[in-house]
Amino acid sequence: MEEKAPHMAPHISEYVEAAREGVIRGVTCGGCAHKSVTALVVCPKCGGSELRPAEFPNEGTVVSYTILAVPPEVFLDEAPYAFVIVQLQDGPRCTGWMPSVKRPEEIQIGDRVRFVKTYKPGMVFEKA
Amino acid sequence: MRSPVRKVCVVGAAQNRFGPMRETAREAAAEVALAAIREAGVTPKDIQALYVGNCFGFSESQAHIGPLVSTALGIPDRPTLTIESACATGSVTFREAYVGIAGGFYDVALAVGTEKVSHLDVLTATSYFAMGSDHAYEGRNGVSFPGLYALMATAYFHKYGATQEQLAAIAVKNHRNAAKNPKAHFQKEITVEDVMKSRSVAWPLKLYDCCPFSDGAAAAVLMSEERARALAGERAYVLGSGRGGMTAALHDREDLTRMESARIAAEQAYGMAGLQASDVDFAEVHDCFTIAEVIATEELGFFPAGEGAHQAAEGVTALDGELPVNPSGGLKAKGHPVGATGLGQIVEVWDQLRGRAGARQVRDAEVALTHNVGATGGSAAVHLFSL
Repeated sequence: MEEKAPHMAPHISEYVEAAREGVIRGVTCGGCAHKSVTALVVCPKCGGSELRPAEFPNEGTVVSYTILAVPPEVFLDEAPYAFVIVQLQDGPRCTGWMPSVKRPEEIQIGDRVRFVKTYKPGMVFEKA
Repeated sequence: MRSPVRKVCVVGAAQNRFGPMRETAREAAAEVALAAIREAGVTPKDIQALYVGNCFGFSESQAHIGPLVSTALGIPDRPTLTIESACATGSVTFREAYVGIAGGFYDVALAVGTEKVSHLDVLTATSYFAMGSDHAYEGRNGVSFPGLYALMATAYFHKYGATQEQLAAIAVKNHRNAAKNPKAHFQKEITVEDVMKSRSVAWPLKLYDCCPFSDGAAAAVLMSEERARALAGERAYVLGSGRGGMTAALHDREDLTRMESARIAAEQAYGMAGLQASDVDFAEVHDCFTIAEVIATEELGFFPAGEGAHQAAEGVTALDGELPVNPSGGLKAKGHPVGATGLGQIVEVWDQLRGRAGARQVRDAEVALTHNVGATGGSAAVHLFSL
């Protein structure tokens, strides 16, 4: 009997392409409703493999942040900027950067932020 | 976890001086390997298997350096395993050699780690180091490697009220220890003021909160207890060996102030050794950034969660404190040649346990612990040693 191969939903390329269009994609577990943007074939919570493609809300709150003065090469012209971990509303956590936030005084844990579509690399957030 | 089939000893260990080196990673590996083999009182021909740790070989246009090291040692017919586990490479390499002997496959094995990055400019090195993260979701979104630990520091400050000055005290302590270590990358003392005045790299971490990009190589010769007893030389027993893992991406962790992989590895190592945290006389821990040492000392059970920063600032972990941490100077000041770092920790333990650590000798050092993590904790290894 032919078994269906496990499928990463979405593939990282799809996550990246969706982000360029201003959409955060990931998976929701059909078994326990666990949500993730990270590529998975098995749910880390319940062990199920029924992971369905999902789109998540663009708004969330800052879980932690840093202000990068020395960034990776691609982001060199943008420094300093904030890099954030965001708890998406009714969604998983994800990461991104905030070109408009330049100093630690300008951001706090718990701040509301929104993912925005830009021409810039990576996932860009701004204050909501 | 099943118990190991038999006991394993370290019978020789050596490293070069960490910091910029002229030779390639493969040459440095062969040199320190030969030094460790000689110290063990054996010859390369006695080595039955080689475990070779290296992360950024591709920057030297070289992968698969295992056979190059065995060839340089005159034993090209021996099996080699080339290992990459980000910053935990050295200790993971040691662990695989340990497993080979504990499991009865070999009686004598070499673990060697090596790295060369000084030929890279800082930006390129920064980009390469970020590859140890879950790059698709972290590095690609604009974070550097210091930035990931900065996210942990921000969360830690928020949860426990620790300060940048407390972290600075850890950098000062590790530089003070490294100033007594002729093999350290940095051998210069610094002050809290120096740290606080150093430029921001990834707020709240400053330049002096960060380990350097180092070159270096370190090696250990491991033997079955039976073979080691037949030798005239000294030996240190591997009392416990633990490995843990966790999600690489920080956004997949519920609590950014914890490092579960290290806790799992420590529990295994303590369990195997029949020891607990209070039995440890000193520890070499993974302080790629000052905040990493704080979290390490908590996950290893030395301090309760939230206590690590102020205990360090109060001198508990100083060379003359209750529990010396990083007497070598740690990654922070002894240096962090990624593939060699974990084995460098074992070289320090080997010297300390035998009373050969000179001006940085820990008093009554009988039980030693090493703790080494890959990237932000996706890999972790903890080992316990005594003579």
